Amino acid sequence: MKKTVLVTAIALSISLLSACANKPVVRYGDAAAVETTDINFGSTDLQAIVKKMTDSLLQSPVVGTMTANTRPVVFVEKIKNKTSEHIDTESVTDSISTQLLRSGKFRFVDMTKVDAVVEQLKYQNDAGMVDPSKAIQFGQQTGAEYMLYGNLSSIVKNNADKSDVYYKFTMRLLDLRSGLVEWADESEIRKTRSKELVGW
Amino acid sequence: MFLHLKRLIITSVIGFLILAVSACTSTQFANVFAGYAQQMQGARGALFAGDYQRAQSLVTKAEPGQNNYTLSLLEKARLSFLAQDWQQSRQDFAKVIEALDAEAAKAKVQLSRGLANAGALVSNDNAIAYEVPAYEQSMVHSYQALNYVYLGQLDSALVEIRRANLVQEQALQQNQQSLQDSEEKFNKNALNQAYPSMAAMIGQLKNGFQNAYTFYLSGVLYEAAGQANDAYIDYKRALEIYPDNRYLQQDVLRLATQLGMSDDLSQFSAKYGAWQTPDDRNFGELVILHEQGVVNAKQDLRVDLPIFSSRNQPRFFSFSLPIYQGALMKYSPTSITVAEQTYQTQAITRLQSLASKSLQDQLPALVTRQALRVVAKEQLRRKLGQEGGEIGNILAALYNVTSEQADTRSWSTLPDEVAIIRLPLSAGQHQIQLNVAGQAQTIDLNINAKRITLLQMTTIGQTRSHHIKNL
Repeated sequence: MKKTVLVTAIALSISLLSACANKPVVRYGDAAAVETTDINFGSTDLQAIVKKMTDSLLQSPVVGTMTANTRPVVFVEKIKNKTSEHIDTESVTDSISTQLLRSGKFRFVDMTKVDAVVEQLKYQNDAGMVDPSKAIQFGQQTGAEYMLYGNLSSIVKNNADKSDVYYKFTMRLLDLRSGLVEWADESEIRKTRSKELVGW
Repeated sequence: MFLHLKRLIITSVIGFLILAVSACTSTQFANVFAGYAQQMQGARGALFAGDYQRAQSLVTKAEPGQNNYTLSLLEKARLSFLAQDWQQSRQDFAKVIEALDAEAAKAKVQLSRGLANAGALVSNDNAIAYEVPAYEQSMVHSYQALNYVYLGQLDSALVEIRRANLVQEQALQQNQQSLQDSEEKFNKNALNQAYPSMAAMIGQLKNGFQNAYTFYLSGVLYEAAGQANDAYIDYKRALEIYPDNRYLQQDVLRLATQLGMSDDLSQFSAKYGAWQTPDDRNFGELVILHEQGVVNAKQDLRVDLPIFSSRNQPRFFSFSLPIYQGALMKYSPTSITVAEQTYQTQAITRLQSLASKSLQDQLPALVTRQALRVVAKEQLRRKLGQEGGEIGNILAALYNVTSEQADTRSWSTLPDEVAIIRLPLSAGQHQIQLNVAGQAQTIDLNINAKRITLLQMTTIGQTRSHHIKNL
């Protein structure tokens, strides 16, 4: 009887201690390091997709001739999220357009800021606060010649032992004047996670 | 002196047992001695009275890591949904989904669960973390999808729809596996004699997780997003579960015609008649989802079942098992009148049936665990009786009786029945006359050409609310 009590008491104390004692630790890490916290879409996937897409686009011979003498104006259409996760696809397009701008071969118009631009121009022209000779007039902006758009889709499979997720990211560059798709590529990622046998 | 020491040991053992299940680890003290259904009585009362705020304040709060964490969030999120606070509801459902994901990623053998099981062995099943059954998970994603729709984020709603599909596919897989496993091990005869059948509530249902409401909602949202092919697949799945629903038949016919599915179309046309394309090309659609009532709470049922002792003699022990009692509530169909035509809602899901079927499937595992527990508690009583004399015996018996509670946990703020109406209407303003259980109401809504207008209605007791969204 006494032994039972002792064993129970020890087992319980261990369980209580391990459940309650947790110290938070804060550290800086490498932003480009491989992240495998869980199987969901993460920073490594985002970086891999962006790199593959921008490299492919900039090295494509068609784009080479297109950008030989001019810097084409491109607008980025929202990337459609067809996966079963909430993924910020705007962040993917942001990274891609930033990389392309950095290459110096393309110019971009930002369709997400149109409302703010209109408001600013209205203020300059109508509010009576800005010197009319210095105010920027309506109707002087450049129209986009190309549209960049894409899809992110996934196939997820789970069973008791492991999970598997496959992402496919497709991207296309469309000539707005002719309606021709000038460039397209896809990037695939497969991740699997096998469950550990024993854990807390 | 010696007797005094013994008493001290006994008291400390019992103290420890209680501590084991109520301490900082996971179980809340109240859960050991009062069943969940009992704790929720107040909140359900407020819910029936239509006071969602008060109902929310009466739901027992739980912190992350506690056994009822997900359950408490589910109740709260559903009540926020009813109160049309989509943002709050979205946040709480997101926490539930996060917890479910974390649970799914855990190791196959969990030491913490072993400890909880050990705790449950000397108290009751409430000491084990609540496992959200598949039909509740599919409802989580359905409501989350609606939250996103009402917040104007159709893309995110579709993500939830895809997750709901994943849940149901996975449940189908696991179900086939577990049916094979459990059939052989368990002798159901003794149980069937003592435990009343829930067949009246389950009806024709084949499994406890395939939820036609979720499929239908996903079809509607896919259509709103212009993905007719995906919508067609989900309408077909819903029709498999509810083959008599006229609106579903029409949806399947319409999309089969539109998508040119000639094989399917000849089959469906033979069964349901050919699809008549409406004359008015400039029409939109009205989809009404009507949620009625609230699912029952599980009840505590005491049954006497034989357990074979070490000498192989059957001895009857008292078991506490959860059960849904009674029959299905009958709801009179809601009728709507629009443009001088009257239509009636048709049921697409009985969540009460899903809940009952789901409980029935869990029963073998519940009884097995209960049998182990009864034996463990009996041994504890005998041991304390030997060592602690009368006082130990009495204390142990008292503890055994009061701690014997059936696990009556379930998401108890879900609706009972969901029914639908779907009709093409010409674009523009419309006034529709509702008739819910003899009470009339008029609703004004706008139909956009070639678009879907979603009207979601909820009737609980005498309280009725609705929300309109142009998709």
